Amino acid sequence: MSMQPTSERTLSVEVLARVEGEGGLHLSLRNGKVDDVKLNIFEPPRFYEAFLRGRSMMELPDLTARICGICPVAYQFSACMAIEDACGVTVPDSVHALRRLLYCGEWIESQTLHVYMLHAPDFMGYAGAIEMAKDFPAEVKRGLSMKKAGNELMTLVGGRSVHPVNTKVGGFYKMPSVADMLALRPALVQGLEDALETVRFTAGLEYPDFDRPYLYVSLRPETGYPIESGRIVTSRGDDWSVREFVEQVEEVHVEHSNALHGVLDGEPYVVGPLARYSLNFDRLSPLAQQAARDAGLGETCYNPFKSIIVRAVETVEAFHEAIRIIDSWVDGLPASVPVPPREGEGWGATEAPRGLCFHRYKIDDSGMVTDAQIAPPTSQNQPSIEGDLRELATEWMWMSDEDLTLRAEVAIRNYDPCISCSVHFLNLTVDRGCPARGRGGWWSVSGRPSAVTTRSGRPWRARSRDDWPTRRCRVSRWSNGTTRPRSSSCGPVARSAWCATRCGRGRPRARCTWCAPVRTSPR
Amino acid sequence: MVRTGPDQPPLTEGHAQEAGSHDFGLASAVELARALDRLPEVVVVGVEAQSFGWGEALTGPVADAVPAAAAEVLRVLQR
Repeated sequence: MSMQPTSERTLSVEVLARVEGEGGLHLSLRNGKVDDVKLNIFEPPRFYEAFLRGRSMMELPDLTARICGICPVAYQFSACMAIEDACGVTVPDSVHALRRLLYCGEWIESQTLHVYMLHAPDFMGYAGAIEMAKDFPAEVKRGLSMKKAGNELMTLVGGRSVHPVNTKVGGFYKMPSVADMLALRPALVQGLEDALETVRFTAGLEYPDFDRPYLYVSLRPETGYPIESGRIVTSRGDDWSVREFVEQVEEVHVEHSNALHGVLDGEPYVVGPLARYSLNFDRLSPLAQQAARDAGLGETCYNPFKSIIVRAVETVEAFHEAIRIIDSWVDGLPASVPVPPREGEGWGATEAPRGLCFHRYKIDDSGMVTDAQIAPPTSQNQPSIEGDLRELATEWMWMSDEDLTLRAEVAIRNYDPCISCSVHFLNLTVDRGCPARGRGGWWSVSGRPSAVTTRSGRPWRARSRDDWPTRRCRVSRWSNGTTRPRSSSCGPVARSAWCATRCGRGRPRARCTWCAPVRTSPR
Repeated sequence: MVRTGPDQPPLTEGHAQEAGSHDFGLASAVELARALDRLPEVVVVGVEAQSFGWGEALTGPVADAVPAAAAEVLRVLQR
C-alpha cells in the first residue's frame, strides 16, 4: 500500500455488493492523477430489443416486466404508453390514476429496499443490512414494514407484489374495489409515518461535501410529482416531448460495459431521484416539501451522497399520493379501453425509481413489433457514475486504498444502479469470447483479481486463464484492524461452473452457445 | 438437510452472504430474521442439484434422492 501521490495505484472491486445485478469497478491512478475509471458491467447482454421483434404488442407489458424484479412497473407502463401512442389511443383518467397508484407501490418497494438494505449500511459503517440489523433492529424493521406496505399495494392493484399481472395495453384487466382499497389504508397511513421517520433518520447521517455540476433530466407532468407521465425537462431549460427526447439522446457502446451509455449532446446526464427532486420540488406535496426542508435539503440537491435523503422524501410522496388516490377512488370506473393496432411508431417514458425509463416501438398493421428500443435509467447514468468516480478519486486521493475503494463503491450505490436492467444490446457485435478468455471478450483483463484469499485463509493465485474465481474475493480491512472476506464465494471454481454463474445457462462451458469460442446465434 | 432456529449457531458463511440483492437468498433471510430476533425454528430439506443444463427430467441420483427427502419432510412434520 502506498499513499504518495506520485505512486501508481489500481483499485478494483470485482463484484460490487448491494447493487441489483453484477458489475465491477476499476480505478487507476497515476502520478497523482486519475488515469482510468471504469464501471464494468459484465453481466451478459439480454437481447430484449431483439427478441421483442415479431411479438404481439399486447405481450409487451408482460415481457418487458421481466427486465427487472424491482421495477417491473416502469417497463410495463413505458411499453403501454408507447403502444397506446403508436395506436393513437388515449386511456381514461381512471386508468391514469390506477397506474399512478401501482407505480407508488413500486416506488415504495424499491426506494425502501435501497435506503435501508443497500445504502444505509454504508453510512452506518456496516458491511450489510444483516450486520446493521443486529445493532439497529428498529430501523431495519421499519424498512421491512414499509416495504411490506408497498408489496401489499402492488398486490392489491397489480395482482402480485413482483411482476404484476393485472396491467395490459389500454389499462387494467380488473379494477380494485373501494372496499379493498380502504382495507389497505391503515398500512399506508402507518407507512407514511414511517417514511417521515425515514427522512429524519437519513437526515441524521453524515455526508461528505461533494456537489457536482449535473445535467438533470426528468419527466414533468402538468400536475403533481413526476411518476407515470409527463414531458421531459432538463436543468438547462429544455422541455421536450418524449419523442423529441429520444431523438436527442445518443446511446453509445463502450468496451467495458454491456450496457449502452446514454449521452445528451455528447455530455453525461443524470436521471433519478436527484433529477426529479431538483426539477420538480414545487410539485411535491406540502408534507414532503416540509420533510425535505426539515432534513436540511434545499429545493435542489446536487450532492449524490444525499440521494438517500431524497429517496426517503420521495417515499413520503409515494405514500401520500397513494393515500390520496385511494381516498378519491369510486367503484365502477372503466378498467381499460380497446387498442386496435395500426402501423406506426410510438414513444413512452415513465419515472422508474432509478430514473427515466423510455421505450420506442414500431408496429405493423397487425400489431406485431418490428422494432424496439428500451433505455433503462442505469444505462443513462453510467457516464455520470464514472464522472463521479473520477471526481471523487481526485478529491480524496489521499485516502488509503481501502477507504477510497469503499468511497467509490458508495458513490456507485448512490445511483441504486440496476445492472440487470441495463444490459440490453440490440445486436451482439462484440467478440463471443468467453468472459474467462479475456482479450476482446466481455471482461477487461484489468478487471480480474490477481490474488485472492480463500475461505480457509490461504492465499490463492490463478494458475491459468481459466482458473479465475467468478465472484469477488476481496478481503476487507475494517477500521478496528480486523480483516474478513467480503464475499463467501471465494476460491477457485470449476471450469464447468462458468456458465452457471456468468450467463445463467448452467451449461458446461464448452457446450454453451453463449460462452463457446465460436460465435453462434443466441436462441 | 439444514436445521436452524433461535438457539442454534448462525449459518456458516457460504449460506448467508451480503453481496448484491440478487444473492439475498433463503440463508440471508434466515440470518436477517435471527438478527431481528424473529427467527422461528427452520428446517430446510433439499437435494443438491447435479445438472443445470437443459432438459425436463431429473438426473438419476437426484431422482433417487427424492423419496428420502420426502420421507424426511414427513418425519419433520410429524414431530
